[in-house]
Amino acid sequence: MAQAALEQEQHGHVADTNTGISNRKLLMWVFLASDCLFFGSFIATYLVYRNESIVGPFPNEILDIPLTSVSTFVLLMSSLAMVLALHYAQKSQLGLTRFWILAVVVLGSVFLGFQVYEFKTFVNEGLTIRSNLFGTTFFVLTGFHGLHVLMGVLWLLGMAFAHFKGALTSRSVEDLEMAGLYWHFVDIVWIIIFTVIYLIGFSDGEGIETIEHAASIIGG
Amino acid sequence: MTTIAFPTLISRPTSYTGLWSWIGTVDHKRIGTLYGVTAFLYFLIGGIEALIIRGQLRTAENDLVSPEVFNQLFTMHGTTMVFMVVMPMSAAFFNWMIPLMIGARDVAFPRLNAFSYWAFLFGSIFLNLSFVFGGAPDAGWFGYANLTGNTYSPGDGVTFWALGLTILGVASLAASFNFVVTILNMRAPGMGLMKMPVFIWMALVTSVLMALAMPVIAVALIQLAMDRVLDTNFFNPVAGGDPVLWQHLFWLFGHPEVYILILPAMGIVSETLPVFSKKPLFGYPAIVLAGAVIGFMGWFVWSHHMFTVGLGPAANSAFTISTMLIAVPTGVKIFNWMGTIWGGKLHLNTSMLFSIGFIAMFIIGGLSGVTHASPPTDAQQQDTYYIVAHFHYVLFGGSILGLFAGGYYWWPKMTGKRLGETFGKWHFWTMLIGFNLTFGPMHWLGLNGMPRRISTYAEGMGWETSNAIATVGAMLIAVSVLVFIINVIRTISSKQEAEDDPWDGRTLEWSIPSPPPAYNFARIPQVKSLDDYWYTKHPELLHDERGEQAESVAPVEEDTHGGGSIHLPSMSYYPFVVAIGMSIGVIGFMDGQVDIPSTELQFPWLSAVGIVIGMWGLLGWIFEPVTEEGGH
Amino acid sequence: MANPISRAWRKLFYQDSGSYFLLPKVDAAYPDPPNEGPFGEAGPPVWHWIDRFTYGGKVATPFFYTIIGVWLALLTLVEVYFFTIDDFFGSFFVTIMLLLALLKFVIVVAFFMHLRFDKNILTLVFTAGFLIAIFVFVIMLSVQGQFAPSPQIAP
Repeated sequence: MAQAALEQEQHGHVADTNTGISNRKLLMWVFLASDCLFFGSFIATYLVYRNESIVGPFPNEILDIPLTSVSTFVLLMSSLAMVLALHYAQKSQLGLTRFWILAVVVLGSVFLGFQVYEFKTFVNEGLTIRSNLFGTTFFVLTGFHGLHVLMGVLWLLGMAFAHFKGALTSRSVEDLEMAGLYWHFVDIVWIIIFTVIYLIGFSDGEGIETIEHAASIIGG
Repeated sequence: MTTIAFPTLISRPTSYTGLWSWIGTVDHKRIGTLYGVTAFLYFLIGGIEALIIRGQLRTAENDLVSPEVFNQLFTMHGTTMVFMVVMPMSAAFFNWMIPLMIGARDVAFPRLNAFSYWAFLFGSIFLNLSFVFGGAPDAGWFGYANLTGNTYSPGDGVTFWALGLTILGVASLAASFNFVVTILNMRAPGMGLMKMPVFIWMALVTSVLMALAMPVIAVALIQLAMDRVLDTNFFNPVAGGDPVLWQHLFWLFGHPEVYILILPAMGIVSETLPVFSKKPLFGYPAIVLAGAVIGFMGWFVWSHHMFTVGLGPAANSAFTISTMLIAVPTGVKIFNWMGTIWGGKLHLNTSMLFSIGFIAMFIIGGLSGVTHASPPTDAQQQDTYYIVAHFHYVLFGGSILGLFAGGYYWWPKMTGKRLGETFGKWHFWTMLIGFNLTFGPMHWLGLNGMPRRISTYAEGMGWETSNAIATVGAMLIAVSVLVFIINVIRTISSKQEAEDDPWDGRTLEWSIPSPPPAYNFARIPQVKSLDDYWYTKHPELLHDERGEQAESVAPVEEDTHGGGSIHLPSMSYYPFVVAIGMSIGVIGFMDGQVDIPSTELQFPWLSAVGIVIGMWGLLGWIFEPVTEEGGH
Repeated sequence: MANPISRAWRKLFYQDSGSYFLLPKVDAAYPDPPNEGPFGEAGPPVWHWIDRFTYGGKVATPFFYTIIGVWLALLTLVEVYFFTIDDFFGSFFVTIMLLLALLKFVIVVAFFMHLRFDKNILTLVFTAGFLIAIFVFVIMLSVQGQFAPSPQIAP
């Protein structure tokens, strides 16, 4: 197939498995498919409880869109850096590979820094994990995403310093590809979270509805 | 490979005998045996819980156990049977048979395989330790919120349940990834997807379902654990939380879960029926497609467990239609199995009896299941013993009988000895009669109004006779399990040696010695058709059964890496370490509150210790090569 | 073109597949029209532009990836800008946001994660999980009343 030939040319090898894909790459894709369900459940929980918090703080009072847009941009650029790192690894240029992996690590850490700052600000303003539904679902969803980012950062740190002992073998390039797939997945989950929580989250005047909701519970 | 000098505290195990060889094993056959033995022990424990339940319900207003203990018993019975018996027993057969049937030497990730088992073991031990540490969970195996919240379930039981099941979920998830990659990537040359045995197809569908469904319950359990330990608001009605959300998340997992429980048994039966009817499987593409369709459609029926929750007529109608539709592929499979038996030369040995018993009992369970598919009838049946009858017919009469069929079928392959036929037949008939005596009366008990999960009932309800019969049946089941245990002990201590292929089998696992050598296949077979081994033995049947002509056999290359020995993955104890570390870390998340909701973890240092151990194990795992130099 | 969806599409709509939905050719010598399929050459021309950089033996270059990154940044800017416009889209706001998010999702998955150029089995594996997640959670949200019209304030 033309695709197989292209893959051969791009990567220099086709694994001797039934599907032509190495075991570890297929494992990572199966893991990502299952992680879709994991994050999907948390996002669905957030959406079920959207506009349902009885007490504040409410999203429209507390979410800072400009700040989060910057952190989204940072994470997107880290994805770009990741794919460049893989590109140079496939071109067997170890120095540039290490540089771009470290770029990913730095950008990912910046993103985590933004998240930590945001969490601290929210807690100071009275939104905690147990204050209301918004707090619970928001912190748990973004918290698990942040955990995934942290694990990715640690993995890539290990890749940058410990993995490529002098030479880029096809196996170590494959490992980097696996790490890259994980990192991009974390990025696309953030794309969805950003849209769902920040952009869509309170487009219809949330505070008023929840007061009405609370009134109906107390009154009826 | 990378040779970072990661400090090893204990040298890597090398000997194949002794305790360390079991702790460090990465051989799929040994791991399968570990799964099987552990699952059978939990079968006994769950069975004892069931016997006590039946003893309590034997007569009206009995006081064998208190209501609190009764609640713990039925919760643990359900949790044990689903998560610690049927799933691991299926995993035992998957572990043993998938590489043998596809012509591989091991699974794709042997250490991940070992990790799955150890995580299962420690998770299940943790869950059962709840009996000792303050009471087992008592809110039902499905743990509906907000009964499971701090207000209505103070104490540690439900927290044990949530955390223990999370560990088990991780174990299943790891195993499912392993099997998907193994089946897709490691088949023998020439074995296309439509030339695989049906058992492997069912294993693939089951593993995909596990990979996609376990994350959903992991999320639900994490949310529940956070509600209990950290006082979050996921299912807290005071803050606006919705208990129905728990039901959605649980049954989004729960319905694919029941297909996870039944598809392996269906796969086993699809293997035994052709062998013992001396006929090829009828309608192979239809059975494969039906299995895949069941796996896909099983995602769209979950709210039929919630018909009485008040979702509204639109939702109820939609799920009614999807539930009724999913009976169709199941029916396709049953007709194909009957077509397999029809006109065949039947060998009614124990395995075949169990397989036929599976079909009969599963039909009964399926019929009662279809009556639940309609909300009006389900409104009467929900939370009564009619439902209990339904799911025991499909789970016991289906999964358990199917798993026993596989046990009797593959015992000679795994151990080199055949289980005794006389004892086997006694086992089958006492089990079948006992099972029907136990769960048959529950149909009319339920329709007469006896609710589920009640620890006792008033006199004069008209339920005593049926309950007494059910208790007698339960004791008969216990007797049958005893017969099985005696059969196993007699077989193990006997001196017989079965041939490599005692049943004249059709699939690849019968082409190697029994028990198989460590490397399974000396030469990886070249597969030309479905049931390839059968047509290698009987090439004259190729035209009669498949309408094909026999091809000349191409010489198979030696797969010995250039004149040397076959490389097998070396043993490793890091999976054991990571499993222990993860379990200890999760235990530390308990919060030890009894009455006063507290938001402190009781043992935060335990979590820290667990994380450190887990990280050490993980790093050791990453940096050690799969096969040591000089290993064989 | 080996995957079953492409084959089915081709079978249904293309001239030379003998499908039921098109009239059979009356003259065997009649030349095939240049526009095959219902969209013909009217499909997104951006694929051809992209393919010029990636297919035909050329490997995706850092320049190409940077362009993808620029597109992603632009899309994010557009999203945030739409967000700041009050009530510009009315009830279509959510749909547009989700479509933009989906577009970014597909771009990252297809190009950064290399799925466009990998074997189809990987696309199948990932899409199966993703689609099942979308389907079941949309169903659950609709059952829980999330797609009902929002309650109005009583006067």
